[in-house]
Amino acid sequence: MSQEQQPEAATGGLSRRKVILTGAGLAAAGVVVGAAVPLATTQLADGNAVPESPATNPTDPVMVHLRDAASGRFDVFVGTRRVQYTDRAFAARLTRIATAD
Amino acid sequence: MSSHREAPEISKDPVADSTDVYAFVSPDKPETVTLIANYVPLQAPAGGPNFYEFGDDVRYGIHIDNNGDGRADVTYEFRFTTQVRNENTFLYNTGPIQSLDSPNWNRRQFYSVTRRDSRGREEQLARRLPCPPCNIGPLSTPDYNALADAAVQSLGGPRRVFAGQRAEGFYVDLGAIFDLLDPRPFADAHTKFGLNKFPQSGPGVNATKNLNVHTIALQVPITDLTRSGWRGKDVNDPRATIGVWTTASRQRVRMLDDELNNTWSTGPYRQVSRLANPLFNEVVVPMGRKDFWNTQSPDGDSRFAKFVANPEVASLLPGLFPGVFPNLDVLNKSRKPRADLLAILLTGIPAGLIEGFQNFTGKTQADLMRLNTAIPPSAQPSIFGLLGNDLAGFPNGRRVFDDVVAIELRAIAGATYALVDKNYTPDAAASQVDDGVTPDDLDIPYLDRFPYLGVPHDGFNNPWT
Repeated sequence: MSQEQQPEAATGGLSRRKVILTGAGLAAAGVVVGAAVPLATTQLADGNAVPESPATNPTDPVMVHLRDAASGRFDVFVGTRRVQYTDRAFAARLTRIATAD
Repeated sequence: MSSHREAPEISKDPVADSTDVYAFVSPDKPETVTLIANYVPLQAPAGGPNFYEFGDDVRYGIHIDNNGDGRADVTYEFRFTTQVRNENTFLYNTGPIQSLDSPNWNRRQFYSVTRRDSRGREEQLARRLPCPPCNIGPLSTPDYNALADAAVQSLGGPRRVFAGQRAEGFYVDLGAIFDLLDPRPFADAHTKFGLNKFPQSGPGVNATKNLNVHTIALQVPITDLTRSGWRGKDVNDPRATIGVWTTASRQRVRMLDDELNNTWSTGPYRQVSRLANPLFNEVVVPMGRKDFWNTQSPDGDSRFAKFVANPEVASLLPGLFPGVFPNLDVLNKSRKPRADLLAILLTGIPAGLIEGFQNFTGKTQADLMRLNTAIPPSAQPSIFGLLGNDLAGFPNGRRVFDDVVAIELRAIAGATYALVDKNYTPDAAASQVDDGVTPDDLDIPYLDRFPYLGVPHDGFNNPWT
Protein backbone atom coordinates (compact mmCIF):
# COMPACT_ATOMS: atom_id res chain seq x y z
CA MET A 1 0.00 0.00 0.00
CA SER A 2 1.23 3.46 -0.71
CA GLN A 3 0.31 6.57 1.18
CA GLU A 4 1.47 9.83 -0.29
CA GLN A 5 2.40 13.06 1.46
CA GLN A 6 2.02 11.63 4.91
CA PRO A 7 4.61 9.55 6.72
CA GLU A 8 3.56 6.35 8.36
CA ALA A 9 3.97 7.83 11.83
CA ALA A 10 1.46 10.52 11.07
CA THR A 11 -1.18 7.93 10.38
CA GLY A 12 -0.94 6.58 13.87
CA GLY A 13 1.62 3.89 13.19
CA LEU A 14 -0.63 1.97 10.92
CA SER A 15 0.60 -1.02 9.13
CA ARG A 16 1.56 0.00 5.65
CA ARG A 17 -0.48 -2.94 4.48
CA LYS A 18 -3.76 -2.05 6.11
CA VAL A 19 -5.82 1.10 6.23
CA ILE A 20 -9.54 1.49 6.33
CA LEU A 21 -11.82 4.34 5.44
CA THR A 22 -15.11 4.13 7.25
CA GLY A 23 -18.26 3.60 5.33
CA ALA A 24 -19.75 6.79 6.78
CA GLY A 25 -17.27 8.96 4.96
CA LEU A 26 -17.59 7.05 1.75
CA ALA A 27 -21.34 7.09 1.81
CA ALA A 28 -21.35 10.81 2.53
CA ALA A 29 -19.14 11.37 -0.44
CA GLY A 30 -21.50 9.37 -2.58
CA VAL A 31 -18.69 7.29 -3.96
CA VAL A 32 -19.22 3.86 -2.47
CA VAL A 33 -22.22 2.34 -0.82
CA GLY A 34 -21.57 0.02 2.09
CA ALA A 35 -20.78 -0.15 5.75
CA ALA A 36 -17.08 -0.28 5.17
CA VAL A 37 -14.76 -0.23 2.27
CA PRO A 38 -11.65 -2.34 2.41
CA LEU A 39 -8.43 -0.84 1.24
CA ALA A 40 -5.46 -3.04 0.85
CA THR A 41 -2.26 -3.39 -1.02
CA THR A 42 -2.14 -4.78 -4.49
CA GLN A 43 -0.85 -8.01 -2.97
CA LEU A 44 -3.92 -8.54 -0.81
CA ALA A 45 -6.81 -10.63 -1.88
CA ASP A 46 -9.78 -8.82 -3.32
CA GLY A 47 -12.14 -7.22 -0.84
CA ASN A 48 -10.24 -7.74 2.39
CA ALA A 49 -11.50 -5.60 5.24
CA VAL A 50 -8.87 -3.78 7.27
CA PRO A 51 -8.77 -1.69 10.47
CA GLU A 52 -9.86 1.91 10.70
CA SER A 53 -7.30 4.64 10.32
CA PRO A 54 -7.27 7.18 13.14
CA ALA A 55 -5.80 9.69 10.67
CA THR A 56 -8.88 9.61 8.53
CA ASN A 57 -11.76 11.89 9.29
CA PRO A 58 -14.89 9.92 8.47
CA THR A 59 -16.49 13.04 7.04
CA ASP A 60 -13.65 13.66 4.58
CA PRO A 61 -14.69 13.36 0.95
CA VAL A 62 -13.31 10.26 -0.69
CA MET A 63 -12.50 10.08 -4.39
CA VAL A 64 -12.00 6.73 -6.05
CA HIS A 65 -10.20 6.50 -9.35
CA LEU A 66 -10.33 3.20 -11.19
CA ARG A 67 -6.95 3.32 -12.79
CA ASP A 68 -6.99 -0.04 -14.56
CA ALA A 69 -10.26 -1.87 -15.04
CA ALA A 70 -8.59 -5.08 -16.21
CA SER A 71 -6.47 -5.54 -13.12
CA GLY A 72 -8.94 -3.84 -10.78
CA ARG A 73 -6.39 -1.30 -9.63
CA PHE A 74 -7.78 1.73 -7.81
CA ASP A 75 -6.44 4.94 -6.39
CA VAL A 76 -8.42 6.12 -3.41
CA PHE A 77 -7.91 9.75 -2.44
CA VAL A 78 -8.83 10.99 1.01
CA GLY A 79 -7.49 13.92 2.98
CA THR A 80 -3.88 14.34 1.92
CA ARG A 81 -3.39 10.66 1.11
CA ARG A 82 -3.62 8.34 -1.83
CA VAL A 83 -4.25 4.70 -1.11
CA GLN A 84 -3.77 2.08 -3.77
CA TYR A 85 -6.19 -0.78 -3.78
CA THR A 86 -7.02 -3.73 -5.98
CA ASP A 87 -10.43 -5.29 -6.31
CA ARG A 88 -11.36 -6.87 -9.62
CA ALA A 89 -14.96 -7.51 -8.66
CA PHE A 90 -15.47 -3.94 -7.53
CA ALA A 91 -13.79 -2.74 -10.72
CA ALA A 92 -16.11 -4.85 -12.79
CA ARG A 93 -19.17 -3.47 -11.00
CA LEU A 94 -18.00 0.10 -11.45
CA THR A 95 -17.27 -0.53 -15.11
CA ARG A 96 -20.79 -1.80 -15.59
CA ILE A 97 -22.16 1.28 -13.85
CA ALA A 98 -19.95 3.61 -15.84
CA THR A 99 -20.92 2.13 -19.18
CA ALA A 100 -24.63 1.78 -18.46
CA ASP A 101 -26.96 4.09 -20.35
CA MET B 1 -14.16 46.01 -13.05
CA SER B 2 -16.99 44.93 -15.24
CA SER B 3 -16.44 41.35 -14.18
CA HIS B 4 -12.70 40.93 -14.13
CA ARG B 5 -11.78 38.88 -11.07
CA GLU B 6 -15.19 39.69 -9.65
CA ALA B 7 -15.62 36.69 -7.37
CA PRO B 8 -13.19 34.89 -5.06
CA GLU B 9 -13.12 31.51 -6.78
CA ILE B 10 -13.12 32.61 -10.40
CA SER B 11 -10.40 35.16 -9.74
CA LYS B 12 -8.08 32.16 -9.36
CA ASP B 13 -9.11 30.67 -12.70
CA PRO B 14 -8.41 33.31 -15.37
CA VAL B 15 -9.10 31.22 -18.47
CA ALA B 16 -12.65 30.66 -17.27
CA ASP B 17 -13.13 34.18 -15.92
CA SER B 18 -15.53 36.16 -18.10
CA THR B 19 -14.78 39.86 -18.10
CA ASP B 20 -17.30 41.58 -20.37
CA VAL B 21 -20.30 40.82 -22.54
CA TYR B 22 -21.32 43.00 -25.45
CA ALA B 23 -24.45 42.68 -27.57
CA PHE B 24 -25.46 45.21 -30.21
CA VAL B 25 -27.01 45.55 -33.62
CA SER B 26 -23.97 45.69 -35.87
CA PRO B 27 -23.54 49.29 -37.03
CA ASP B 28 -22.09 48.29 -40.40
CA LYS B 29 -24.42 45.31 -40.90
CA PRO B 30 -27.67 46.24 -39.19
CA GLU B 31 -29.39 43.04 -40.20
CA THR B 32 -27.05 41.27 -37.79
CA VAL B 33 -26.31 41.24 -34.09
CA THR B 34 -22.78 41.07 -32.75
CA LEU B 35 -22.23 39.11 -29.55
CA ILE B 36 -18.92 39.32 -27.71
CA ALA B 37 -17.77 37.48 -24.59
CA ASN B 38 -14.35 38.29 -23.20
CA TYR B 39 -12.22 36.07 -21.01
CA VAL B 40 -8.73 35.90 -19.44
CA PRO B 41 -8.55 39.31 -17.78
CA LEU B 42 -5.76 41.83 -17.36
CA GLN B 43 -3.27 40.38 -19.79
CA ALA B 44 0.12 42.07 -19.72
CA PRO B 45 1.10 41.94 -23.41
CA ALA B 46 4.66 40.80 -22.68
CA GLY B 47 3.50 37.78 -20.68
CA GLY B 48 5.57 35.11 -22.40
CA PRO B 49 6.92 32.61 -23.05
CA ASN B 50 3.58 30.97 -22.33
CA PHE B 51 1.33 33.55 -23.85
CA TYR B 52 -2.36 33.72 -23.08
CA GLU B 53 -4.88 31.31 -24.53
CA PHE B 54 -8.33 29.88 -23.95
CA GLY B 55 -8.73 26.80 -21.78
CA ASP B 56 -8.89 23.51 -23.63
CA ASP B 57 -10.69 22.14 -20.61
CA VAL B 58 -13.28 24.91 -20.43
CA ARG B 59 -16.64 24.91 -22.18
CA TYR B 60 -17.51 28.45 -23.20
CA GLY B 61 -21.06 29.46 -24.02
CA ILE B 62 -22.92 32.48 -25.31
CA HIS B 63 -26.61 32.11 -24.55
CA ILE B 64 -29.70 33.86 -25.84
CA ASP B 65 -33.09 33.91 -24.15
CA ASN B 66 -35.76 35.04 -26.60
CA ASN B 67 -38.94 34.30 -24.67
CA GLY B 68 -38.28 35.97 -21.34
CA ASP B 69 -37.99 32.93 -19.10
CA GLY B 70 -34.32 33.46 -18.25
CA ARG B 71 -33.33 30.19 -19.92
CA ALA B 72 -31.31 29.67 -23.06
CA ASP B 73 -33.24 29.27 -26.28
CA VAL B 74 -30.10 29.47 -28.38
CA THR B 75 -26.61 28.59 -27.22
CA TYR B 76 -23.35 28.92 -29.09
CA GLU B 77 -20.73 26.69 -27.57
CA PHE B 78 -17.01 27.12 -28.11
CA ARG B 79 -14.42 24.41 -27.44
CA PHE B 80 -10.69 24.90 -27.84
CA THR B 81 -7.82 22.57 -28.66
CA THR B 82 -4.16 23.46 -28.38
CA GLN B 83 -1.59 21.87 -30.65
CA VAL B 84 2.17 22.00 -30.19
CA ARG B 85 4.39 21.45 -33.20
CA ASN B 86 7.65 20.94 -31.36
CA GLU B 87 7.76 19.75 -27.76
CA ASN B 88 11.52 20.20 -27.64
CA THR B 89 11.66 23.96 -27.56
CA PHE B 90 10.47 26.38 -24.93
CA LEU B 91 9.58 28.89 -27.59
CA TYR B 92 6.04 29.95 -28.51
CA ASN B 93 7.45 30.63 -31.98
CA THR B 94 10.78 29.85 -33.56
CA GLY B 95 10.66 32.64 -36.14
CA PRO B 96 8.31 35.27 -37.48
CA ILE B 97 4.66 34.24 -37.62
CA GLN B 98 3.46 35.55 -40.94
CA SER B 99 0.40 33.38 -41.45
CA LEU B 100 -1.96 31.32 -39.32
CA ASP B 101 -0.33 28.13 -40.60
CA SER B 102 3.21 29.39 -40.19
CA PRO B 103 5.64 26.55 -39.38
CA ASN B 104 7.37 29.00 -37.04
CA TRP B 105 4.34 29.10 -34.77
CA ASN B 106 4.80 26.36 -32.24
CA ARG B 107 1.75 26.58 -30.04
CA ARG B 108 -1.49 27.04 -31.94
CA GLN B 109 -5.06 26.94 -30.75
CA PHE B 110 -8.12 25.84 -32.72
CA TYR B 111 -11.78 25.84 -31.84
CA SER B 112 -15.16 24.50 -32.77
CA VAL B 113 -18.51 26.29 -32.72
CA THR B 114 -21.72 24.43 -31.97
CA ARG B 115 -25.21 25.90 -31.97
CA ARG B 116 -27.85 24.38 -29.72
CA ASP B 117 -31.51 25.33 -29.62
CA SER B 118 -34.08 25.07 -26.85
CA ARG B 119 -35.07 21.61 -27.99
CA GLY B 120 -31.55 20.37 -27.52
CA ARG B 121 -30.84 20.11 -31.22
CA GLU B 122 -27.16 20.64 -31.89
CA GLU B 123 -25.42 21.72 -35.05
CA GLN B 124 -21.69 22.02 -35.31
CA LEU B 125 -21.20 25.18 -37.31
CA ALA B 126 -17.47 24.85 -37.69
CA ARG B 127 -14.50 22.96 -36.40
CA ARG B 128 -10.75 23.49 -36.31
CA LEU B 129 -11.01 27.22 -36.80
CA PRO B 130 -7.71 28.90 -36.03
CA CYS B 131 -7.17 31.47 -33.32
CA PRO B 132 -4.57 34.11 -34.10
CA PRO B 133 -1.38 34.13 -32.06
CA CYS B 134 -0.94 36.61 -29.29
CA ASN B 135 0.63 39.88 -30.40
CA ILE B 136 4.21 39.31 -29.32
CA GLY B 137 6.25 41.97 -31.04
CA PRO B 138 7.68 43.25 -34.32
CA LEU B 139 9.92 40.21 -34.89
CA SER B 140 7.47 37.49 -33.95
CA THR B 141 4.25 39.00 -35.32
CA PRO B 142 5.45 41.58 -37.85
CA ASP B 143 2.06 42.06 -39.51
CA TYR B 144 -0.35 41.41 -36.71
CA ASN B 145 -3.30 43.08 -38.41
CA ALA B 146 -3.11 40.57 -41.23
CA LEU B 147 -3.05 37.67 -38.76
CA ALA B 148 -6.01 39.07 -36.88
CA ASP B 149 -7.97 39.67 -40.06
CA ALA B 150 -7.25 36.14 -41.25
CA ALA B 151 -8.66 34.80 -38.00
CA VAL B 152 -12.11 36.26 -38.75
CA GLN B 153 -13.87 33.20 -40.11
CA SER B 154 -17.12 32.69 -41.95
CA LEU B 155 -19.89 30.51 -40.56
CA GLY B 156 -21.94 30.74 -43.73
CA GLY B 157 -23.86 33.70 -45.14
CA PRO B 158 -23.33 36.82 -43.08
CA ARG B 159 -22.29 34.78 -40.04
CA ARG B 160 -18.79 35.42 -38.79
CA VAL B 161 -16.77 34.38 -35.81
CA PHE B 162 -13.50 35.30 -34.17
CA ALA B 163 -11.74 33.90 -31.13
CA GLY B 164 -8.44 35.24 -29.91
CA GLN B 165 -6.58 38.09 -28.29
CA ARG B 166 -7.80 41.68 -28.59
CA ALA B 167 -7.04 44.97 -26.90
CA GLU B 168 -9.04 45.48 -23.74
CA GLY B 169 -11.82 47.86 -24.68
CA PHE B 170 -13.36 48.27 -21.25
CA TYR B 171 -12.06 51.36 -19.50
CA VAL B 172 -12.29 52.10 -15.80
CA ASP B 173 -10.39 53.83 -13.04
CA LEU B 174 -10.09 50.65 -11.07
CA GLY B 175 -7.59 52.05 -8.60
CA ALA B 176 -9.88 54.86 -7.52
CA ILE B 177 -13.12 52.90 -7.56
CA PHE B 178 -11.79 50.24 -5.25
CA ASP B 179 -9.86 52.65 -3.06
CA LEU B 180 -13.01 53.10 -1.04
CA LEU B 181 -15.07 54.37 -3.97
CA ASP B 182 -13.16 57.56 -4.59
CA PRO B 183 -13.49 58.61 -8.25
CA ARG B 184 -10.71 61.10 -8.84
CA PRO B 185 -12.95 63.77 -10.42
CA PHE B 186 -14.91 63.79 -7.16
CA ALA B 187 -11.97 63.43 -4.79
CA ASP B 188 -12.49 66.87 -3.27
CA ALA B 189 -15.96 65.87 -2.13
CA HIS B 190 -14.96 62.48 -0.67
CA THR B 191 -14.86 62.14 3.09
CA LYS B 192 -11.49 60.32 2.93
CA PHE B 193 -12.18 58.89 6.35
CA GLY B 194 -10.39 61.80 7.97
CA LEU B 195 -7.17 61.11 6.10
CA ASN B 196 -5.68 64.14 4.41
CA LYS B 197 -4.96 62.46 1.12
CA PHE B 198 -5.13 63.92 -2.40
CA PRO B 199 -7.52 66.74 -1.51
CA GLN B 200 -7.72 67.92 -5.08
CA SER B 201 -9.88 66.41 -7.77
CA GLY B 202 -8.19 65.19 -10.89
CA PRO B 203 -8.65 63.23 -14.06
CA GLY B 204 -9.30 59.52 -13.97
CA VAL B 205 -6.65 56.90 -14.69
CA ASN B 206 -7.58 53.99 -16.95
CA ALA B 207 -6.44 50.85 -15.14
CA THR B 208 -6.91 48.66 -18.21
CA LYS B 209 -4.79 50.79 -20.50
CA ASN B 210 -2.39 48.74 -22.61
CA LEU B 211 -3.81 45.44 -21.44
CA ASN B 212 -5.28 42.67 -23.55
CA VAL B 213 -8.10 40.18 -23.23
CA HIS B 214 -9.28 37.07 -25.05
CA THR B 215 -12.39 37.59 -27.13
CA ILE B 216 -15.04 35.28 -28.49
CA ALA B 217 -17.02 37.28 -31.05
CA LEU B 218 -19.93 36.16 -33.13
CA GLN B 219 -21.94 38.04 -35.74
CA VAL B 220 -25.18 36.42 -36.85
CA PRO B 221 -28.44 37.51 -38.44
CA ILE B 222 -30.96 38.90 -36.00
CA THR B 223 -33.31 36.21 -37.19
CA ASP B 224 -30.94 33.55 -35.85
CA LEU B 225 -31.57 34.81 -32.34
CA THR B 226 -35.12 36.12 -32.03
CA ARG B 227 -38.19 34.08 -31.24
CA SER B 228 -39.45 32.35 -34.38
CA GLY B 229 -36.86 34.24 -36.38
CA TRP B 230 -38.70 37.53 -35.90
CA ARG B 231 -37.32 40.61 -37.62
CA GLY B 232 -39.15 43.91 -37.59
CA LYS B 233 -39.17 47.56 -36.73
CA ASP B 234 -41.82 47.58 -34.03
CA VAL B 235 -39.87 48.44 -30.90
CA ASN B 236 -42.77 47.35 -28.73
CA ASP B 237 -43.07 43.89 -30.20
CA PRO B 238 -42.15 41.47 -27.38
CA ARG B 239 -40.21 39.38 -29.87
CA ALA B 240 -37.84 42.27 -30.53
CA THR B 241 -35.86 41.87 -27.33
CA ILE B 242 -33.31 39.16 -26.66
CA GLY B 243 -31.38 38.48 -23.46
CA VAL B 244 -27.72 37.53 -23.70
CA TRP B 245 -25.21 36.11 -21.26
CA THR B 246 -22.05 34.06 -21.26
CA THR B 247 -20.92 31.14 -19.17
CA ALA B 248 -17.82 29.06 -18.67
CA SER B 249 -18.00 25.55 -17.33
CA ARG B 250 -15.53 22.95 -16.16
CA GLN B 251 -15.83 19.24 -15.61
CA ARG B 252 -16.38 18.46 -11.98
CA VAL B 253 -13.37 16.24 -11.43
CA ARG B 254 -9.82 17.24 -12.27
CA MET B 255 -6.96 14.81 -11.79
CA LEU B 256 -3.29 15.69 -11.50
CA ASP B 257 -2.08 12.32 -12.69
CA ASP B 258 1.44 11.44 -11.67
CA GLU B 259 1.43 8.12 -13.49
CA LEU B 260 0.40 9.57 -16.82
CA ASN B 261 2.27 12.75 -15.94
CA ASN B 262 -0.52 14.99 -17.12
CA THR B 263 -3.77 16.56 -16.03
CA TRP B 264 -7.18 15.40 -17.13
CA SER B 265 -10.79 16.10 -16.30
CA THR B 266 -13.90 13.99 -16.19
CA GLY B 267 -17.51 14.14 -15.15
CA PRO B 268 -20.36 16.47 -15.95
CA TYR B 269 -19.76 20.13 -16.57
CA ARG B 270 -20.43 22.63 -13.85
CA GLN B 271 -20.78 26.32 -14.54
CA VAL B 272 -18.02 28.33 -12.87
CA SER B 273 -18.49 31.76 -14.42
CA ARG B 274 -21.31 33.80 -15.92
CA LEU B 275 -21.83 37.36 -16.99
CA ALA B 276 -24.42 39.60 -18.57
CA ASN B 277 -24.76 43.11 -17.16
CA PRO B 278 -21.42 44.63 -16.21
CA LEU B 279 -20.74 44.97 -12.51
CA PHE B 280 -23.73 42.86 -11.45
CA ASN B 281 -21.78 40.20 -9.63
CA GLU B 282 -18.91 42.58 -9.02
CA VAL B 283 -20.60 45.32 -6.99
CA VAL B 284 -24.21 44.24 -6.47
CA VAL B 285 -23.88 40.66 -5.20
CA PRO B 286 -22.18 40.47 -1.78
CA MET B 287 -18.95 38.59 -1.20
CA GLY B 288 -20.54 35.56 0.38
CA ARG B 289 -22.83 34.93 -2.60
CA LYS B 290 -20.56 35.71 -5.56
CA ASP B 291 -19.21 32.22 -6.13
CA PHE B 292 -22.72 30.81 -5.84
CA TRP B 293 -24.04 33.39 -8.30
CA ASN B 294 -21.47 32.27 -10.83
CA THR B 295 -22.84 28.73 -10.76
CA GLN B 296 -26.47 29.71 -11.26
CA SER B 297 -28.77 30.12 -14.23
CA PRO B 298 -30.32 33.58 -14.80
CA ASP B 299 -33.83 32.22 -14.35
CA GLY B 300 -33.17 31.93 -10.63
CA ASP B 301 -31.96 35.47 -10.15
CA SER B 302 -34.98 36.52 -8.09
CA ARG B 303 -32.94 35.24 -5.16
CA PHE B 304 -30.50 38.10 -5.81
CA ALA B 305 -33.15 40.78 -6.42
CA LYS B 306 -32.90 42.15 -2.89
CA PHE B 307 -29.32 43.19 -3.57
CA VAL B 308 -30.51 45.14 -6.61
CA ALA B 309 -33.50 46.60 -4.80
CA ASN B 310 -31.31 48.13 -2.11
CA PRO B 311 -27.79 48.19 -3.54
CA GLU B 312 -24.84 48.59 -1.22
CA VAL B 313 -23.17 51.23 -3.39
CA ALA B 314 -26.24 53.47 -3.18
CA SER B 315 -26.19 53.18 0.58
CA LEU B 316 -22.51 54.14 0.69
CA LEU B 317 -22.58 57.23 -1.53
CA PRO B 318 -24.25 59.70 0.88
CA GLY B 319 -21.77 58.81 3.61
CA LEU B 320 -18.70 58.94 1.40
CA PHE B 321 -19.71 62.24 -0.18
CA PRO B 322 -21.32 64.25 2.63
CA GLY B 323 -23.99 66.62 1.41
CA VAL B 324 -23.66 65.59 -2.22
CA PHE B 325 -26.46 63.03 -2.40
CA PRO B 326 -29.17 64.28 0.00
CA ASN B 327 -32.08 63.02 -2.07
CA LEU B 328 -30.48 59.64 -2.51
CA ASP B 329 -29.97 59.53 1.23
CA VAL B 330 -33.68 60.07 1.81
CA LEU B 331 -34.50 57.43 -0.78
CA ASN B 332 -32.12 54.96 0.85
CA LYS B 333 -33.59 55.53 4.27
CA SER B 334 -37.10 55.02 2.92
CA ARG B 335 -36.04 51.45 2.06
CA LYS B 336 -38.18 51.65 -1.04
CA PRO B 337 -37.02 49.04 -3.51
CA ARG B 338 -35.15 50.53 -6.41
CA ALA B 339 -37.69 49.69 -9.09
CA ASP B 340 -35.54 51.49 -11.65
CA LEU B 341 -32.56 49.20 -11.04
CA LEU B 342 -34.75 46.11 -10.83
CA ALA B 343 -36.04 46.97 -14.29
CA ILE B 344 -32.69 47.88 -15.81
CA LEU B 345 -30.89 44.80 -14.55
CA LEU B 346 -33.48 42.09 -13.99
CA THR B 347 -36.60 42.51 -16.14
CA GLY B 348 -35.80 45.11 -18.76
CA ILE B 349 -37.36 48.56 -19.01
CA PRO B 350 -41.08 48.41 -19.76
CA ALA B 351 -42.73 50.55 -22.41
CA GLY B 352 -43.95 53.96 -21.35
CA LEU B 353 -40.97 55.03 -19.26
CA ILE B 354 -38.68 56.17 -22.06
CA GLU B 355 -40.25 57.46 -25.23
CA GLY B 356 -39.76 55.09 -28.13
CA PHE B 357 -38.06 52.44 -26.07
CA GLN B 358 -38.60 49.25 -24.14
CA ASN B 359 -36.61 46.10 -23.58
CA PHE B 360 -38.91 44.42 -21.09
CA THR B 361 -38.78 40.64 -21.20
CA GLY B 362 -41.46 39.80 -18.65
CA LYS B 363 -41.77 39.18 -14.95
CA THR B 364 -38.97 36.66 -14.66
CA GLN B 365 -36.11 38.37 -12.89
CA ALA B 366 -32.91 37.45 -14.67
CA ASP B 367 -29.61 39.21 -15.13
CA LEU B 368 -29.51 39.41 -18.92
CA MET B 369 -27.94 41.80 -21.37
CA ARG B 370 -31.21 42.84 -22.98
CA LEU B 371 -31.09 44.08 -26.53
CA ASN B 372 -34.08 45.40 -28.41
CA THR B 373 -33.11 44.42 -31.95
CA ALA B 374 -35.71 46.74 -33.51
CA ILE B 375 -33.69 49.76 -32.37
CA PRO B 376 -31.32 50.57 -35.22
CA PRO B 377 -27.70 51.54 -34.62
CA SER B 378 -27.26 55.17 -33.70
CA ALA B 379 -25.81 57.56 -36.26
CA GLN B 380 -24.46 59.69 -33.44
CA PRO B 381 -23.84 57.34 -30.55
CA SER B 382 -23.38 58.56 -27.00
CA ILE B 383 -21.04 56.67 -24.69
CA PHE B 384 -23.68 57.23 -22.03
CA GLY B 385 -26.22 55.14 -23.93
CA LEU B 386 -29.78 55.56 -22.73
CA LEU B 387 -28.67 58.20 -20.24
CA GLY B 388 -27.30 60.12 -23.20
CA ASN B 389 -30.59 59.76 -25.10
CA ASP B 390 -29.03 57.14 -27.35
CA LEU B 391 -31.52 54.28 -27.46
CA ALA B 392 -29.03 51.95 -29.14
CA GLY B 393 -26.65 51.98 -26.18
CA PHE B 394 -26.40 50.40 -22.75
CA PRO B 395 -28.57 49.24 -21.11
CA ASN B 396 -30.11 48.45 -24.45
CA GLY B 397 -27.47 45.85 -25.12
CA ARG B 398 -23.94 47.12 -24.82
CA ARG B 399 -21.53 48.44 -27.41
CA VAL B 400 -17.78 48.21 -27.03
CA PHE B 401 -17.42 51.92 -26.29
CA ASP B 402 -20.31 52.40 -23.87
CA ASP B 403 -19.25 53.97 -20.58
CA VAL B 404 -20.95 51.37 -18.46
CA VAL B 405 -19.18 52.44 -15.28
CA ALA B 406 -20.54 55.97 -15.49
CA ILE B 407 -23.98 54.77 -16.60
CA GLU B 408 -24.32 52.34 -13.72
CA LEU B 409 -22.83 54.70 -11.15
CA ARG B 410 -25.30 57.37 -12.20
CA ALA B 411 -28.22 54.97 -12.17
CA ILE B 412 -27.29 53.69 -8.73
CA ALA B 413 -26.85 57.29 -7.55
CA GLY B 414 -30.48 57.90 -8.39
CA ALA B 415 -30.37 59.35 -11.88
CA THR B 416 -32.89 56.81 -13.16
CA TYR B 417 -35.20 56.63 -10.16
CA ALA B 418 -37.38 59.44 -11.51
CA LEU B 419 -38.39 57.05 -14.30
CA VAL B 420 -40.44 55.11 -11.77
CA ASP B 421 -41.24 57.89 -9.29
CA LYS B 422 -42.11 61.24 -10.84
CA ASN B 423 -41.94 62.86 -7.43
CA TYR B 424 -38.29 62.04 -7.01
CA THR B 425 -35.71 64.65 -7.92
CA PRO B 426 -32.28 63.16 -8.56
CA ASP B 427 -29.37 64.91 -6.90
CA ALA B 428 -27.46 67.17 -9.26
CA ALA B 429 -24.39 64.99 -8.83
CA ALA B 430 -26.26 61.85 -9.87
CA SER B 431 -26.07 62.78 -13.52
CA GLN B 432 -22.42 63.78 -13.25
CA VAL B 433 -20.77 61.08 -11.17
CA ASP B 434 -18.05 59.48 -13.22
CA ASP B 435 -14.71 57.78 -12.82
CA GLY B 436 -13.25 60.22 -15.30
CA VAL B 437 -12.09 57.90 -18.07
CA THR B 438 -13.43 57.62 -21.59
CA PRO B 439 -12.51 55.80 -24.80
CA ASP B 440 -9.95 58.58 -25.31
CA ASP B 441 -7.93 56.88 -22.58
CA LEU B 442 -7.37 53.84 -24.79
CA ASP B 443 -4.24 53.76 -26.95
CA ILE B 444 -5.66 51.38 -29.55
CA PRO B 445 -8.95 52.46 -31.11
CA TYR B 446 -11.98 50.31 -31.59
CA LEU B 447 -12.65 49.01 -35.07
CA ASP B 448 -15.65 50.06 -37.11
CA ARG B 449 -16.08 46.49 -38.26
CA PHE B 450 -16.20 43.00 -36.79
CA PRO B 451 -14.91 42.15 -34.21
CA TYR B 452 -14.94 45.84 -33.22
CA LEU B 453 -12.41 45.52 -30.39
CA GLY B 454 -8.97 46.80 -31.37
CA VAL B 455 -6.01 44.64 -32.23
CA PRO B 456 -4.08 43.65 -29.12
CA HIS B 457 -1.15 45.55 -27.71
CA ASP B 458 2.15 43.88 -28.53
CA GLY B 459 4.53 42.66 -25.88
CA PHE B 460 7.63 44.36 -27.22
CA ASN B 461 6.27 47.85 -26.90
CA ASN B 462 4.07 47.46 -23.84
CA PRO B 463 4.79 48.71 -21.34
CA TRP B 464 7.03 51.46 -22.60
CA THR B 465 10.32 51.84 -20.79
